[in-house]
Amino acid sequence: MSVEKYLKPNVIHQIKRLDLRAQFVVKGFLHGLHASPFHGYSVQFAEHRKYTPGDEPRTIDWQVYAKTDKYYVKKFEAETTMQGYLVMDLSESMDYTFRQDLTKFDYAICLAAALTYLMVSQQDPVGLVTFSDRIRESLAPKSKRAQLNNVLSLLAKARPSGKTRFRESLNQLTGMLRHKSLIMVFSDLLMEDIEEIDALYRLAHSGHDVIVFHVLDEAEVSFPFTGACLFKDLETDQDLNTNADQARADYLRAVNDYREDLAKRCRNNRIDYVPLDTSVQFDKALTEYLLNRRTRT
Amino acid sequence: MAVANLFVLLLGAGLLAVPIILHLLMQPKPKPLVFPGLRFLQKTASSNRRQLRVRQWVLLLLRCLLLLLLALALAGPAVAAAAYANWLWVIGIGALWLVASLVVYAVWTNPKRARGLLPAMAALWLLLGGWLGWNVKQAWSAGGGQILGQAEAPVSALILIDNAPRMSYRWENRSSLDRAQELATATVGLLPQDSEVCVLDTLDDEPFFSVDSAAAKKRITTLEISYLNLPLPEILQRGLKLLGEGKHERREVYLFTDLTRASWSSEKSRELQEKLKEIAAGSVFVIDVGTNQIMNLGISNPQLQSAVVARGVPLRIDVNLGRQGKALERTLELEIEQPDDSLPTIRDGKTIVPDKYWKFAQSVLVPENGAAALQFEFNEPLPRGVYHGRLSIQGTDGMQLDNERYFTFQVRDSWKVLLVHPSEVSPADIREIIAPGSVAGAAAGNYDCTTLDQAQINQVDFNQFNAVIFLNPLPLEEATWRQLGDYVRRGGGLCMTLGQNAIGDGKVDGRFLSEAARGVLGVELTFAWSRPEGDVFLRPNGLAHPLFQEFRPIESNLNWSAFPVYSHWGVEVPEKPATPLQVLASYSDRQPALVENVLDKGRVLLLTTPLAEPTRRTLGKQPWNDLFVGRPLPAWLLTREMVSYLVRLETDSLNVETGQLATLTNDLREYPENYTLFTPKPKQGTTKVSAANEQLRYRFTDYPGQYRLKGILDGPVLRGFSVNAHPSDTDLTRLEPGELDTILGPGGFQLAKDQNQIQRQQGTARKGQEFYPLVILMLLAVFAMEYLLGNRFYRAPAGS
Repeated sequence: MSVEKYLKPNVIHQIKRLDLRAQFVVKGFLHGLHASPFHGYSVQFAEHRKYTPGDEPRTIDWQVYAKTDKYYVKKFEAETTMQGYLVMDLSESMDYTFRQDLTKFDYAICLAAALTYLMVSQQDPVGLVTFSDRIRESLAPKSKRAQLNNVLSLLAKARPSGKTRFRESLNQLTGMLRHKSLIMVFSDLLMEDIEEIDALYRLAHSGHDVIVFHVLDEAEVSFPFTGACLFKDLETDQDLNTNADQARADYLRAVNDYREDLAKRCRNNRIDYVPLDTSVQFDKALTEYLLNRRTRT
Repeated sequence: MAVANLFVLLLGAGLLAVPIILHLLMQPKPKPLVFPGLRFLQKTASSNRRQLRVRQWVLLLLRCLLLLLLALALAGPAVAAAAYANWLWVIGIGALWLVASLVVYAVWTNPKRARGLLPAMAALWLLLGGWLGWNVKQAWSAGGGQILGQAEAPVSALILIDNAPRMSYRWENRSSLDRAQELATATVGLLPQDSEVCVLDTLDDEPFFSVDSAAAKKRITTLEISYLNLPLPEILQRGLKLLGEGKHERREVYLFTDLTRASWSSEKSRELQEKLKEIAAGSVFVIDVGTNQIMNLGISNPQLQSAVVARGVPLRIDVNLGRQGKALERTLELEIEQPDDSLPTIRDGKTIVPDKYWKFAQSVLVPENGAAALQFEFNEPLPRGVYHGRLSIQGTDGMQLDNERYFTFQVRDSWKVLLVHPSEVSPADIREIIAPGSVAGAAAGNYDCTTLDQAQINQVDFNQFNAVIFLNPLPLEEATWRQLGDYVRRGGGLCMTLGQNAIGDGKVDGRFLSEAARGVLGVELTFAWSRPEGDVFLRPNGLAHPLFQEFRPIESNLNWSAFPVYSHWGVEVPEKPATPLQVLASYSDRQPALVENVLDKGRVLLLTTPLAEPTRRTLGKQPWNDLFVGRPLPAWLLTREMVSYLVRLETDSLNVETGQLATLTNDLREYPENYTLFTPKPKQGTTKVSAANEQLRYRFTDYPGQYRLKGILDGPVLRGFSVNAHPSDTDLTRLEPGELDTILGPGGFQLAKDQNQIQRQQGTARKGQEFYPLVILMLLAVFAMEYLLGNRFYRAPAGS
């Protein structure tokens, strides 16, 4: 049931189209991920294929040649598989929307579902980690199609609550990971201190490929409020009585500055930063991101 | 500053409370909203709150201002036109101060942004506030407290009409007074209902408010030319005092004048200006009923060589003709009445006067805007009596008043003067001075001068002489002194000119120190002062005394120091004299030279240096003085005037100006006590007058012409005097442009020439300069500001 909720037919259609349209993109996306981290790695032999000019000579299986007088190269699992982790922020602030159909959490789940679908379609194992003030739950990466259901089931049952302790949670994750992985972080990044983002640097410098999907609610991006308002933050339990019209300009400036700061920091640490808000259709956002990424690789 | 509808203004002020109450009490309840992005709000919350407060207060202020301006516009504020600029200035500074207040508040609530500016802004704000307060005070005090706005509110009005003789000048078939009366009547008619009016002319009358406008109009129409005038500013001061007590708050002053300079005096002009500002600022109207195109020929007051002449002495009359306008040739007629004992009389209610005259005429060409002098000499041998005469110009012009002038003179027997001299002192020179060309026993001019050797003094009756002069006498006996005393007390005039003959045994002869002598002289001789250096001279102690009347016109030509006095008698003047005593002249060594002592009806003059000295002098011995050496004008004039004074040549006021007291001596031995007075005033019959203390005094000389007295004493006695207008009464010279500003204050009055101008200026003065257009402009500006700022402050987000 969760699949239908988060991957509606039109979304699936979009994803499929995405898959078809960007097949080579996805492959490339995936290929791009595969190339450098796994070079020279001792990985499990998967199968042989005929040698084509351009293949590296060291990959030729000489035993097969001895037997058959034909050139075959070895295919390793590392060429075709990539381990990914969906890292989902389950702090209370994620369970917020002002007037959109999806909360930030729901939106993040949609994103996660799409990416899970993609990876599973490529038989890439994908796992899930949820956190708020610490890692709450995790799913080991698997590549079977049932993994999508598992991920979505877990996410569907999850309830965002508690404060965000980003650094602690991600440091915990860093310790958990044994292999270089693709880490996809879904969070609104509303931390007490922006410096907590250095946990991502650790992940990135540990050899993992980190993508940060910074999900904010449309209201958090556009500040559509008017008049006198009493704003309350359930996570910090603070409130503020102010006139929204008066505060708008400064708020928007502050949010944009924050996003730009995050982008800059991620850029400097070779972390992909994808700013999103819930008013933007996630599939379009994802497509755009993937296209941009392909262009880069 | 005043408002037409105070109620509206107060109501508007009350409504100001509404937005304030709304702002304070009805703050909107904030919507509670969960918002995870709170942390981004909190960063700028405090400065936003400050900004919000500033913006809220600014908008509140603008909304209050809007209401206030609306109320003000409906209330119809106005000020006097003269004060408009002041109030504009106040509004400008007020706006600046308001802006400064907002800036200071913004800076104060947002210290981070402009911390360093706050002290400077606060200082500027205080300065502007002080400047504003001072300007408001100045503008308010300049306003004069006039209530404006309602053109039809009743007023207290002062109508002042100049009715000096100058206002009789006629042009375009009407006199200036006619014009003034017409315009003043119309003005009274246009005053709002229930107004009170005080009508004043230039007579010295107590001002009062007329019962109603009809009474005021009647008073205006019955005004006549008056010869007893006070300057307009003085009358205005009195009128303003009454106006200040008027029952209406709005006051107006209307001055109807021909703007001739003689009506306006600039004395105490500052005081007048302040009074005008206080009582009727902005509502003073000067209506010019005169003209700049003046064509007039007038006679000056005739100058008689002497109003009292001896029989056979010619009468000389000098007169000037003054012209305003082009040159003109005219004939001047002189008429002298031939007396008729039966006239004047009243017949059929009219005064009948003699109608026979001696007539003389002279033609003269008077230059443009110039003058011509004429002299008449009347040689007709006349019997004793009082004669009236008249000078008149043939033809008419704008002002008839100065085309005729009057004079009166008296013919009497020559005054008998006795010159008593020791044998060695010659009286010839003095006699020649007093009665030029006279032969002993025959009168020459006004005086019949007789000389007498002092040795024969016991044979003379002093009473037959009008004046007795002792020239350097030898000591007199006690009896002679007593005789002289009696003579003087009965009205005689005595002159003692003492010299070396008063010395006895090297000092003053004791006979000059007797009680009788001191009783006559009033002073005590001390000793003879010797001043051989010749640095002492005689000079009068001022020229106010009647004896020095003829000295006044030629004062600068009298060089007393050129006639040294080498010796003179010293006198001791008592501190508290028993009789009226006065030192008329002194020497330059401050010793008394000429002393007057009044004894009852007579006078004694003591000169302490001689007018004549012994003809035979010891060789080498210095004379007592050089008074008659060279061209002795001072001594000559002094001698003549002493005689004239002693005989009371010009005691009677035979020719006076309007308003002056006419005084005639009335010796009951010669004249009756009671008279019938015939005045030249039209519609006034006769009046009875009586002498008192041997003097006839008449002060109601308020009309020019001949005043005739008729009494009975062994037959009809005809006397009288002439009254002429003061020269300024017919001087049509107008004020120069700007002179009126000096008197009434620049901008302190409005000048009009006709009814239309009066009405226009009344309208402006009553309504004042209205602020309605300016207030509406300000209202629109504030409305626009409130709209723009409101939209800017509370701009809705795009797409919401």
